[in-house]
Amino acid sequence: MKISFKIFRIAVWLVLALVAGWLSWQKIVPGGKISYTYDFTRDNYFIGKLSPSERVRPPENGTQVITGDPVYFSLTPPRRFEKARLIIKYKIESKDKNHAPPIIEAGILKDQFWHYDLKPIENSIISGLAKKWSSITENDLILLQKEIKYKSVDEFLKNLPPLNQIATYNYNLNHVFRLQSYKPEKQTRALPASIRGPYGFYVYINNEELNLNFDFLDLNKNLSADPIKVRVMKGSKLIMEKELADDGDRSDSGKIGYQGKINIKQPGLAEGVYNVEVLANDDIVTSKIATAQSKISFIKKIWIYDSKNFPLRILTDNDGISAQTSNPSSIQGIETNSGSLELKETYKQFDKKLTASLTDLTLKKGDTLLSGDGMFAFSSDELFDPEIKKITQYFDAGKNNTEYIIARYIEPEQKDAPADGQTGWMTAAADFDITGAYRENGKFNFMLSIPGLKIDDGIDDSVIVKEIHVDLEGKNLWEKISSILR
Amino acid sequence: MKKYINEIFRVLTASLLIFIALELIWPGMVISYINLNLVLIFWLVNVIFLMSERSKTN
Repeated sequence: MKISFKIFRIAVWLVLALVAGWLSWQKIVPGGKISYTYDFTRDNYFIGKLSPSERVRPPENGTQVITGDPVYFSLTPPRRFEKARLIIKYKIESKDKNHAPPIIEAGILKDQFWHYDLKPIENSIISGLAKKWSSITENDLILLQKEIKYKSVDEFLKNLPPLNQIATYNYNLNHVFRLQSYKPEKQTRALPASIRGPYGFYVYINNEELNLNFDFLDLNKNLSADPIKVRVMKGSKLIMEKELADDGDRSDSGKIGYQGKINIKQPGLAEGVYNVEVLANDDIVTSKIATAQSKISFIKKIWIYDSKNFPLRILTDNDGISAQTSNPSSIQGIETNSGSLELKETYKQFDKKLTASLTDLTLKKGDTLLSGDGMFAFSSDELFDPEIKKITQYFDAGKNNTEYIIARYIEPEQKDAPADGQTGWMTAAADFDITGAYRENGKFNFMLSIPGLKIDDGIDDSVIVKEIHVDLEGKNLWEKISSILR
Repeated sequence: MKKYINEIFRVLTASLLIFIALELIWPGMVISYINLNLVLIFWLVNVIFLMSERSKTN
């Protein structure tokens, strides 16, 4: 009896020691690699639920249906890792195949200003063209040619065709952009509208000083500090950076405060394109941008806050645009030369495909966010697009005279295809470097972007997710100890 | 029987204290795998058994 009690005592304490040891092992991850899977049958501590609830249906039978774009989920790793491989098992459901979302991308939040590092999951535009055009695949690079001219990706990269014949996807093509017959302006002028939130624009410099003067207001609508940072970059090289602290009112009083000025003057810059980024939250309004630069094109989005010049003319080279507002008094019809884009409700995105290579937009009211995948400018003289055409949901190879597509893209695999010819579950992976990714309360934020997927557009389409799997990789215990001791 | 219940009580009490301490130091370390509510319920059930055993003895 005594012996059996002793064995019992040892056993129960051993169980506790083993459980504590196993929990420590899972926390430390001594091997440097760990995987988590969320299969929608039960909550997972490490991989959060898909949100917001308005764009997803509740999980059912081990799947979750996404009905609107974009959706988000969090990842809570037990410790620091360097790489994350996201593997998604999903399928696209659409009664009308022509209106099925053509692109699915996954991204990780890079900073507090809602910039995501997006990676492809599925791109049916490239998959479709790969069946019609000649295709060369080298590792994760794919080159599509309308007519065969190049025998390898390397040959293509060494002897690029005219840049207007190329479209890219998830690939940065190194090229030097030059504007022929460019003449710098001498007069400083103010742009005709105030701009809300963060934004970025390109300017072109040739034998002139970079001269930008910003005035900022703080709307004080949100309870947080509202610092501002203005960065000038040439490619990935930082040229200069200036900061402005909060106006001192961190309340959500709605009392508009003057935040201050940032003046940027930099003579002697080499000829070329410079990227200016204004990093701020949505409380910040750039009330005035005065510049001597003759070319100034806003990248991908512009949130017009107000203007003295309504109706305000905006030029864009986008293949399609989206407009939205949170302000009921900003509901309006935005005139375009492809018809009117009716902004009928607040907090809802309205899209329009644009047919012309250059589209005139006429805004009658402010507090309107315009977005797309190209450029926006206040006049045709200011508009220039130094970027090579990118493949977006609106991409039309015929319209753009595209002859070549270069992409870093691996097609998703179809596993367990049903015998009746229906689509099976697709599996796609995306790799992320998470060393510099933004982390809040120990959580990374991921986004699933499915442009064109809307809840109430009358199209019966959705993306069903069966599994989200994350492989994390970082330093192992020995490497960690070595780095501390070094 | 009583000494077995007593031992389980000690182990469950130690478990709760260790788990809560670990959770305070590294949030999420325990609750990501173990439901602490269940451990607490087991502990309470064990305490009830222990009390009834003691009342029988008295």
